[in-house]
Amino acid sequence: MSEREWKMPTYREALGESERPRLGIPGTLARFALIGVALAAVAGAFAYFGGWLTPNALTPARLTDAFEHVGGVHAGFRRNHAKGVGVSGFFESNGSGERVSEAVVFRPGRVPVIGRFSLSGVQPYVADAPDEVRGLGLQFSLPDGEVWRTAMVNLPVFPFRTPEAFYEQLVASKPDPKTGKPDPAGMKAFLERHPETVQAMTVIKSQPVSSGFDNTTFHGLNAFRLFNSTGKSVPVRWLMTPMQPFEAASAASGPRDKNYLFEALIAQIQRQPARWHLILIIGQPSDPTHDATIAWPAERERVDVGTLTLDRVESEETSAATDINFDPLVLPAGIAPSDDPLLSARSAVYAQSFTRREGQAKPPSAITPADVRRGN
Amino acid sequence: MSTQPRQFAAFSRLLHWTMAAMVLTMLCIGVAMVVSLGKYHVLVSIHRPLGIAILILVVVRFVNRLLNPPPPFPASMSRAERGAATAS
Repeated sequence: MSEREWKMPTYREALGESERPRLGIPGTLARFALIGVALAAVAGAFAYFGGWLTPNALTPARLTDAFEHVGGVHAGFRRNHAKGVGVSGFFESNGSGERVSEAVVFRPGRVPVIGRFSLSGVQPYVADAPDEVRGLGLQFSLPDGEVWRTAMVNLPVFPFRTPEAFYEQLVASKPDPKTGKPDPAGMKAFLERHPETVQAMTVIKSQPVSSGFDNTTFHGLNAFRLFNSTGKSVPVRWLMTPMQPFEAASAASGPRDKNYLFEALIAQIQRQPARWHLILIIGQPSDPTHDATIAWPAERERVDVGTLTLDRVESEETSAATDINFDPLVLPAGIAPSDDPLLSARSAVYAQSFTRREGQAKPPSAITPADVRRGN
Repeated sequence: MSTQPRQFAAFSRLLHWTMAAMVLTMLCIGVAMVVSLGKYHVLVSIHRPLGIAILILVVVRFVNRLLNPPPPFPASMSRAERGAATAS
């Protein structure tokens, strides 16, 4: 190698970057096209997943809008089950549930519980009536930091199989401003499309309504799956059966206090704690878990796993339950969701309702702290 | 100059492209879960751990940048491009 031939290395060469041939116009265009395709694919996927390509699909926001459309917006209140009171107490497990679930809540012992009794519907100041659906939301706080939330009602089965059916019915139930009642033709058309609802309503109507919250049986409605410590799984439904004796709701439609159900509950709990058995209904593999409109056969095994005691009642103004979203999919290890489509939908819509109400100032609830102090 | 690497370390590249895929997945799940009723719960249960995993990888990325410094900018990069690359 002679002195002459030696050349100073360029900056690129010094970095080891080999000189690439410059691209021609077709090559440049091809590369831009490739970048364009990649960007379009990402943007398209984003639009697809974000629902922009299916603007008519039912979303959590649309379902929540339907509640507001039917019953108005009541700032700061739950979008459904708006009227309620907070309660607290404890659950005493007897250990019988350990066989089917490893959940800590089923180990023998006591865990604190906070809950809320409610009436279904959008109106926070609705007058109590025997045929209003009653709700009980509960949160069990387990010693290992897990929580279990469940939201139950006093119906033995749920009238709707899917969130879409629920939505259809909700929209059809909007009162006509002229008559103050839903359009009968709309309801009739809905029932014709949904025979499962007709069937469920027959079951619901055959069950007598009790006189108060304290002697009401509350059903979890949706199926779940339990896992025990060996990994074995069984389908399950649960309910709370009252230890207070059943008494049928009075058929007489005499004048009642607007809050008579809640006032009676307050008086009852202040006199003596109200108690329920937590019953697990253990399903068979053949039992449908995706359809809350159908009850499982009556002969299914029932396990009494412990006692719920509610010894304190509070107005929503002071109760910590007011800010709890009783999302049925907040579950401890050992309890898992089933394939019931209502579960995910409830979780999504409850979150939507929670987000909306927590961002608003809430006027006083129907049951005030003074009502609770006064007792009855 | 001689100690500077000529290209990104293999681990840096792996980290970069894994996180790129994760972030894009995260964005799609994020927009999907707010409009989905039936898949809401499944999506949320992926969204949460995936987000935490990305957060952890961001920390790994910082440490990796100290251990495996990036190569110098190519000569063809403009001043503005270099500024943008450094800022990000």
